Amino acid sequence: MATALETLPLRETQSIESVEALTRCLRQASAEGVPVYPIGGATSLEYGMPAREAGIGADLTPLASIVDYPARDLTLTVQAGVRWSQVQAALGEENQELPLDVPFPSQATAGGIVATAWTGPRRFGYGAVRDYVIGIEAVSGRGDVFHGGGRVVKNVAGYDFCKLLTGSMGTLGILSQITFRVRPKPERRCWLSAPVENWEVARELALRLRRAPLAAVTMGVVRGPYWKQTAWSECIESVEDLRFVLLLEGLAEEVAGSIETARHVATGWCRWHEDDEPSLVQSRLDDLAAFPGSTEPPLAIRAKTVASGAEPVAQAILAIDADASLFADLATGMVDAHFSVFPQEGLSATLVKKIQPIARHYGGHVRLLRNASGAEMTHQVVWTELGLPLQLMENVKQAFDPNNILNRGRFVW
Amino acid sequence: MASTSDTTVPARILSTLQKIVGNRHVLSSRSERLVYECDGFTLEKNTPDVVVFPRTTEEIAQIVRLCHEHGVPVLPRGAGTSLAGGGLPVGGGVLVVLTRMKDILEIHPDDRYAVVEPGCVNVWLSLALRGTGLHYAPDPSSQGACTIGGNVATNSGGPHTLKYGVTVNHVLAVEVVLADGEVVVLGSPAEDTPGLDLLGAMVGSEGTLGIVTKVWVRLTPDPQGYRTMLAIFDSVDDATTAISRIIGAGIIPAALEMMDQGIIEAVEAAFQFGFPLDAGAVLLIEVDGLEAGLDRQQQDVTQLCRDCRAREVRVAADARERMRLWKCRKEAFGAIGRLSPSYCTQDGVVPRTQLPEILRRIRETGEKYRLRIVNVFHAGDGNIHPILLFDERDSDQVDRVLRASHEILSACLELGGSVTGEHGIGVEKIGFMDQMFSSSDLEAMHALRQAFNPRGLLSPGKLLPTAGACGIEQRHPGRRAAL
Repeated sequence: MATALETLPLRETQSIESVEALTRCLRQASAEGVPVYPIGGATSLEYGMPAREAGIGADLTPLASIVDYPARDLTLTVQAGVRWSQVQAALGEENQELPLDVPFPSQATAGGIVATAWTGPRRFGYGAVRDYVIGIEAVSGRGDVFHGGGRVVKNVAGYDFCKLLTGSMGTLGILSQITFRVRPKPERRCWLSAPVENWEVARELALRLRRAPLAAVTMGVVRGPYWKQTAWSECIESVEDLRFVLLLEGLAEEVAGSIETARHVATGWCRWHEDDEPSLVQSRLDDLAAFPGSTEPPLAIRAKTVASGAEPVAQAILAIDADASLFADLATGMVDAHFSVFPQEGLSATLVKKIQPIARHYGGHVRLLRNASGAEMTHQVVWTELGLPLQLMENVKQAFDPNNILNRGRFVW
Repeated sequence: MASTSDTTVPARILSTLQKIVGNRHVLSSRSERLVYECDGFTLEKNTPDVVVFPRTTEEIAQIVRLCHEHGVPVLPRGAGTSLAGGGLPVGGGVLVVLTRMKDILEIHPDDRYAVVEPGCVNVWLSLALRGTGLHYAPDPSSQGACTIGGNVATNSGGPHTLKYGVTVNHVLAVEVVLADGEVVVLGSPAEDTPGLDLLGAMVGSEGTLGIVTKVWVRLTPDPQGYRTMLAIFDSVDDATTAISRIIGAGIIPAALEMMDQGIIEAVEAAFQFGFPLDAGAVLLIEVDGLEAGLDRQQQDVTQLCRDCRAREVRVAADARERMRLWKCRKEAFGAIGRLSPSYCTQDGVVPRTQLPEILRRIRETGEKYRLRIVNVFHAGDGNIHPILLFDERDSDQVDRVLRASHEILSACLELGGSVTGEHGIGVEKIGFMDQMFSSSDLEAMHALRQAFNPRGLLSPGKLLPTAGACGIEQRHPGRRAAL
């Protein structure tokens, strides 16, 4: 994991101890027209376009308090700089959780996860980050504190800034506080996994499993050398194997019933291996969550399509790099991939010409997660050319950050 | 549809509108326009200058461009079931009624999404999905009439939001006609589109950011089974304690609805369910999901209710009994007609643990203003719906209803909640926005509206109080009930 100083062109870093300090920092930067780069756990600084202009790093990790946790109301309010592992630990004491799994949870911050709208492996079962943010506080590029939502689970007063700011990469405001709705922890969890013959079998099996009544929260295929060094290693005989993985969560009876159902559905297709030892279940989940954040590969991407697009995208990646490692989420259409070598023909020729069109065909796009070469970092390579309503986005950006100081140059425009 | 025009809209604009959608699909005479002077919120009214019924996105784009050129306000309307005046044409203008755009365009069961036109009635989609094992989860009580476009505009909820979320959690993309007539698509069925989540901002924006002309919605698997229970309590406090205990035990019911004594009486008079009339509160609790886990959840819920002194817990033995229990909840509003000629349904939210306190305050408010207030609401997510009974022909009663509503909603804010959980701000609750949000919050909201709707012609006078950057005057609706 690269540090902020290695990744961003910082001329100074300010330690943000309070919302007032953040306001002061942004007002001054706005007056001077100097870019400000928000920094949480520094786990996603390579995500997005590279910052080019020298600016101020706003280190939000001192804003690390849990503000309010009325467990019976199933809500949690935290400052943006609180580490994700601390959030999960606090929730764990009440047997609750946020089912959002991220790489480097002991470094990643709540604010960073919301700002990047980071998706983890349990998306199928529990939805996206945006589904959990019910209240938000941020400081705009003008240096004004503003809020959206509140601390109740249902609330339609005013524009939904919770959604607007989630995934906005800090370009409309730097997040200072977030209220989440939280969930009870599942009573039992169990991984089923099985080798499958080929991608066609994987696709058909996923389709059948999705139609069956199952307490499934993750459903996909892991493949490639990366998984040999993880908690999945004993499942991977050869790096070319496709391993179908299925995480079941819920009441003990639901999981037991789902295991039976999954066996029935898979008859003639594969034989499940069952693992429900809690620490193994967790480490396998952690490893899936960590995969897209790995700094090992020369090139890492994340494709997101409708469910039926995951298999063709995965095949397209393997056609370019047979030694690629990947996790193809066949239930949500998300494919995370590590290339084994940097493609000789370059990113435009591989990503833009070969993988993005397939993702687009299935309604989606491809994001660049890591490019060790640093070359060809164009908007089209990093985010995919999608015909977005960019003028409208720019109008909104202008409304919140007229001097374009927030994370300048790192987003889609 | 056309008859003699007596609108104040210039003839040139009227004739262009007629050319765009056809004469038959323009209403311009006062008697016809009067039908559209209000929606489900009947306390305030104003007549639109023209009502048009377009059939296509292109027609809407032309209408909006025309209004943009001539500085005429324009606002969309679905079935007119908004309870906050979201469809009230404040300041007149062109009302774009979307009920002709009602088709289900595509259904993709394997990718779990469907594409519908905005005028598609909510329940039609789930009816069309029968047999696929999928349904559209948001089911507001008005689902037999309200449209999916209207649901998007107000970010509607319903009794199943506790487990399944509100409309915004089920909308994957929208096609929108912007204020200048440009057509854009926000979001995608694949979700996570790079860039700002303008889709998230659009849902619940009450027509102030654009007119939604097509909606991609998420489809949810049908639960394998249900267990539906009705728990009868002597007091509201016991019932609310049971709610906290159920949630505290880690059970997330698909629905957790409460009815108080007043509404029990009305329902009983209308449908004879056999409820004891001296019961303080009734909880309708439904757990759903995989069959394997349902019996234990039912036993746990039953036990928790008994621990909280439930007098009786009835369990629906089969689908017919389940429908009967739901009927008493869904038709509670219809039963209110027996109690008074008019009623005003309020919509507020408090943290779940504050339910006993807000219900106590509602009781006190009713006594103070000499109004009968009954309650039927989504208790599981703290979303209250006090129903204030009155006669809209009596101006004194109307006034007391307005003041009592104000007091109840202020109490919701004091207890850390919101003035609307699912109906929206509309015109009804604009006055609360500056209590709920700071001036810088409102400035940010104005800035967002300005970015989408710079001239303020889309749904003027909605959602946000006047001032700030937009410069649009708050035009008060034309008239109030009984005034």
